[in-house]
Amino acid sequence: MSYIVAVDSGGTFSDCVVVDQAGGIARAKAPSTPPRFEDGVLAAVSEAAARLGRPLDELLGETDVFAHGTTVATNILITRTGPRTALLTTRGHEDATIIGRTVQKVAGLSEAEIVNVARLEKADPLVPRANIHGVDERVDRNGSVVAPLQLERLEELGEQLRSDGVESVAVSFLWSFLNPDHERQVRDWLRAQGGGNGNGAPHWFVTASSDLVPVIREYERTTTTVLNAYLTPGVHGYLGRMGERLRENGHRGAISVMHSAGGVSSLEEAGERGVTLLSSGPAGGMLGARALAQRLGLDEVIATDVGGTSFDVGAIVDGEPGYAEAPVFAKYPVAVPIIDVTSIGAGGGSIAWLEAETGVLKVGPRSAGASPGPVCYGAGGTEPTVTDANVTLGRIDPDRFLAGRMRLDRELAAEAIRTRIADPLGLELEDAAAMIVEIADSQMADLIRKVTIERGRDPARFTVFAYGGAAGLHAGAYARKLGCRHLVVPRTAAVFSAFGIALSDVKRVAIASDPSRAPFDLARWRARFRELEDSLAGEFENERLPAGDLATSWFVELQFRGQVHAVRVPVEDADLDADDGGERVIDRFTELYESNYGRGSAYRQAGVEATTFVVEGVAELPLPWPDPLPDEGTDASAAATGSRPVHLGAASGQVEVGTYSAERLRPGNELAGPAIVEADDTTVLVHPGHRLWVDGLLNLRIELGD
Amino acid sequence: MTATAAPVDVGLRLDPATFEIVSHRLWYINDEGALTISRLSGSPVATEVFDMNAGLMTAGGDLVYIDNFICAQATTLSPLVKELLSEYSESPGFGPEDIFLCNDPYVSVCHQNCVGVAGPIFADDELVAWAGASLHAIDVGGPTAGQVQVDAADIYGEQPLIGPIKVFEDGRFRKDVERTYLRNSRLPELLGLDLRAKTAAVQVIRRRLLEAFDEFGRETVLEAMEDVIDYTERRLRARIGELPDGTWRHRGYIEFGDEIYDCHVVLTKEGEELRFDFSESADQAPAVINCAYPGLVGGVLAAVMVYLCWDMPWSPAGVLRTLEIESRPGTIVHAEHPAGVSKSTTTAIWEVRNLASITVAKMLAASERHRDRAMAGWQGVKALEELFGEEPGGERFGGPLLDGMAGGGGAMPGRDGIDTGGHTSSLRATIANVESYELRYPILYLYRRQTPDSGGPGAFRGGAGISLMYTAHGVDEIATKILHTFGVEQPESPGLCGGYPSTTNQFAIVRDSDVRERFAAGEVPQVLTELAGEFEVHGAYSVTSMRPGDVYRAVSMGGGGYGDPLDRDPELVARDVERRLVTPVWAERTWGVVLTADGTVDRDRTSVRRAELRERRRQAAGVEAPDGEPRPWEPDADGIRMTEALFCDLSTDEPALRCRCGHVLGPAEESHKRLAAQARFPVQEIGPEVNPYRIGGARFELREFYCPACFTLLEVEIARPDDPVLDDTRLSTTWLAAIKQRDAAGVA
Repeated sequence: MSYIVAVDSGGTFSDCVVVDQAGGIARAKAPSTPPRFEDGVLAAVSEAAARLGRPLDELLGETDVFAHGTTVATNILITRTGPRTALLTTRGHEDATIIGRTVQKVAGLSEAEIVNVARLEKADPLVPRANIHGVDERVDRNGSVVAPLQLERLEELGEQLRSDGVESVAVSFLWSFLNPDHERQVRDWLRAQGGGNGNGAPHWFVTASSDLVPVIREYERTTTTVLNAYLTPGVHGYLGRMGERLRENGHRGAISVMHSAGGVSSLEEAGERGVTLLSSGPAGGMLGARALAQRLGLDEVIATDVGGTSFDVGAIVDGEPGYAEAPVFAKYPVAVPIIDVTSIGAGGGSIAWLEAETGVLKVGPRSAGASPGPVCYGAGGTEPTVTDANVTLGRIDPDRFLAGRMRLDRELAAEAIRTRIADPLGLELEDAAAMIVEIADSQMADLIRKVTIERGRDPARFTVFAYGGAAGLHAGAYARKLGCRHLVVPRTAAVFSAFGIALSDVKRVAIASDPSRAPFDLARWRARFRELEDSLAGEFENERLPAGDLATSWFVELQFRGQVHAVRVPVEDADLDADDGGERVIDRFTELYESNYGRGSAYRQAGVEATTFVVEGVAELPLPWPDPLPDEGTDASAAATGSRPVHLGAASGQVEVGTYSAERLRPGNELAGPAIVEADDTTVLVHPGHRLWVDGLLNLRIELGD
Repeated sequence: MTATAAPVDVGLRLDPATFEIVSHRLWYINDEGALTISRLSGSPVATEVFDMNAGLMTAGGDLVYIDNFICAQATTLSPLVKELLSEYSESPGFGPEDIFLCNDPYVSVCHQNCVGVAGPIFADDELVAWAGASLHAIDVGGPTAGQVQVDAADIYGEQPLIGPIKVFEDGRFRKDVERTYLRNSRLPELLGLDLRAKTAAVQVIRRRLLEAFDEFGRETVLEAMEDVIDYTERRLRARIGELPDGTWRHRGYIEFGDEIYDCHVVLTKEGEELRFDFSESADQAPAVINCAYPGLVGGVLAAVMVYLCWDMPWSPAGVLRTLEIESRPGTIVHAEHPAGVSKSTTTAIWEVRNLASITVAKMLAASERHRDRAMAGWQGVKALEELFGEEPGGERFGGPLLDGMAGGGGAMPGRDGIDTGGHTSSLRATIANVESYELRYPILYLYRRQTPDSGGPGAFRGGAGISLMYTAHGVDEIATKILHTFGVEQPESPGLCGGYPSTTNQFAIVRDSDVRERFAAGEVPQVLTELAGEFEVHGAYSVTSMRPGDVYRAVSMGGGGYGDPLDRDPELVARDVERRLVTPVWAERTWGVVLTADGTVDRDRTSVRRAELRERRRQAAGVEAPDGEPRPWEPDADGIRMTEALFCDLSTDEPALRCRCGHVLGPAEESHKRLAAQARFPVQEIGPEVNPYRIGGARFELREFYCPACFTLLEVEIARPDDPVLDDTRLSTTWLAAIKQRDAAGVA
């Protein structure tokens, strides 16, 4: 046998998926073990090996690719456990990351948080002001040197860095993306210092912005560079340990790491670019959605992940996930491409409460989290949550939660809802619980609406993918609210990010800014694209992954003059042969623009600007897909496990609903709603009027009708 | 939504779950409208700094929601719609895909450059709601490029007024109207793109609202709109009811050339309502700095929402129901046609917001429950400029440089203000990157940084402001450079409860400097006054130009401090020095904190220094030190708080004003400032960046008020030498009596 093993190591669980040559899938979960995440990863793989009845070293010995998604970068950022980092920047601009364009105080905050003005604050600086140093040098907007760099003046600064005990250094100068010479001189000088802090670290880890992210806008470029300097040493150390543990346990094949741009890279490359791992897990989910969408022949998909504390949404348009427009982590903008996943605090743990002044019912954004968790866990929680409402309504079977490994207390849940919500509002218990679920469903629908609308699309045209432990209970409702007609609960719903990581290709995105106005100098464009493509080709050659041929695609970011939000427009080599100043590309831009923002919104008289050139490189990894299983007929009665009273909301009230085992449902089986399908790790509610069927890959498909 | 149970009456039309769901959706709809403006506009004021907003309104033009971009841009949409309803219903009438445009400040907008649009929303042939959008346009015409009409004596010398006029009809632009509108502008392409951005925003809100009608039912959505307004009113009334009754005052000044215009507010709070009275403000100016009534209302609304609506929707119509705004027509804050208003957004409207904000803050400071939200003044006014000219290739450039928006936040009990945290006019305001500005304009920055010694000193420090220095680069001349602000002679971000204001705003240029030679030698100069060349200081309002070799510096103020600086934890001062927000010299002068060579606090010398400073206060006030220690007491238990250090002692027959140290200043019915020891200083005493070049001489002074026993700094006041001391904080005697009675009943 040969396997692909994928592990998504998240904040609370490490999820493992093992895919064999024939496309067979095994899955397992183990608790995460920060900060030594490698222990939890190995535990999850061991659990999967046990399920396959194989010793760990045999499984790993037959693994061609070990694909890894990791939250280690996020964890370093949140716990602030990165190294002592310094920033060298152009003299006079030392405060750029601290001023944070002023908007830092509200970056990434919700509306409710923003209006809480007396509680706003900026990020706690990753590099404190005392460790930010100005360097005398200056380049202008044409890339010309205005004030030459004089390296010999840096000696004192070297001493300062040593005495400050600095371990990692970021270098970001103005306009370095047009002329990287000064930055590279300083980078090389720093590396040659061999200084370290005299405490065992022989060299500084050095990140130059022109190497990492050569794009215009110094704040975003510099915070990205600083984040990389701050995260990479820890990421590097972790990945090194992880690789070692795998080798010790018999793994001989390749190791790949999922990065936020929606592909994998080698362990070695990931270890040099910590900032690219900040959204590794959620990107894995989107890649899983992309792969499944392709397999199912779907172009427009809303991927939704309902967990305990957060609800994540990403859109797949024309078969591809998008990149986030202005991603923010811990109030810092990140200028590397990141697969767009939007998140709100809504999930099973969201707390329902009454506003004291008015009695208005609210759900979230506070969450009961994993501890104490919902009231029904019996672990000391007193405030009712969405999960408590689901238990009260009979939607979750308290005796079969997590395959019966955890017993839930329905009485406690009901009592909390009765005393805190139903009685004060003068409502029946079930009506109050249904209202809680209804509000949570609406919040999720509103977020989906926002995400699809921002990409210029009508949500009703999308198919909803629902994964994460709690999605099956809510997806039917939010899909219906959006007018969607088709819902898919993937077979691997509970470990879907790991599944996506297993299916990802090798990918790198190279970007560089070179602003200009139409009519464009297409020869210069071509030179730019070629440079980027050459750098990608070099990097792919060095990848130690069993990947196929490199395929590249070119894009240029265009905007009307003065705009900030650019549109990524595909460019082909042939476009650059025309002697038209880029008219063909501008036409394509105008079409894309109007399809996003409406007919008549484009206004070419304003002038067109090009800012940034993008080359994406993808090389396929050998990814097995199982053949569909044969249809076994519509009769699902063999999967029936009984029935129970379930409250289905205001319209239907309490109804006796049949329950089914997901494990026993076979391809072709059909169920008419209402019905409940239960797996070890999730529950799916099929609403009245909806129809469920099982496809050949054992995904649950729900048709919502018109 | 449920037939089985009746929710308790919370005074809403909808049940509490439906209200929560639909109101959430309405917020999203309006937010999508606002974000549409920023995506589609090509103007840096929308795309980078978000000087824009959108509003969803009822059929009658009451604002249900506005987004948290520039507040007054949205609040002024309501008067536009009300004008349309009263004047245009018959002719030209309203169609379901019509949009009207207006830049007349006497009808709606803040000033002529904030061009508002609004369109009716019809359902089944019935007009059921309105949507509006507004955006600061860089140039809409007029004698001077940009917003500030340099020499205009009245509105006839300012930008052309347009509308309200139907610019979009049956879903299409009216070419005749659009052309007329764009024809006046120096940047017609940009104005055209802006217009598309705003109409697209209205169309988006329209479309989404109709979708919501389909989903929830029209009546439910319309009821939710009314409910949002009622709900906000209810919440805000409850909030106001939690605060003490009393009267608070403030006075601010706008310098304009040789003239100084004083603005006044009296905030009276009783029960669940607030009354702001601006009647004492100066007569309107024969210049561009006045604001019309819609601007006045917008300024007050912005203050009340930022200071009191921290956990409720920003629904202006609901907020307005709790407010009474008094003003005198013909004044600088309530100008009558044809007074000039083109600069109102950075003069009179800011002043209105400053006044309303600081009086609400004074009220909050007296509230034991909410005093942790008593923010001293955020940035009192931004230092701004606009640049116009031609690139070497002949292409025109033009627009504002808005770095000055990165002001500082006001300090509050327990927290410093946010350094370069912006201002409260727009919480999502952003400054553009240096590279973006250098790409757009032929300039090269020498620095952009947080200004040392700029955060208003106090026990908690105001947020630092911003300063920048640049030279003209790659061009023979920047032909027109308009500098405009106020607060250049007097610091305009008020401190609170003994905290000082921030800096003044400053503009200076060194002509024909040696900056090129310094660059060539591998140096990036950082101090303007160290450059060779001719040094030139500019006042609040100046039109000039720049040539290569000229170096320009601007300082834009930060936020005010809270409480006596001598109360500040010395470790925090040491931290500020390490962060280069405070210089060691001023750490010692203002905060009395002495640092050792390695930057740590010298505890002994700090104690000595602080004692010296208190003694200096005594001497400056010319009073004798009291004999003996004051009788100790427990102000938290036995007094009612009035400010940080002053309480009303209710244990005596007649309520007395008493310092936290125990000293009794006198009867509570007296002005606390009259009872305090006081001293007067030049404003430069506050810090090195307060009118350092003494523009205007000494037209303003700093007044300090101390406890006559412990010499804690109780209040700071900026005033003209002849202005009376402001009696600015009075708790209601009826309210105090009621508390005394209640306490007595409690004891009994």
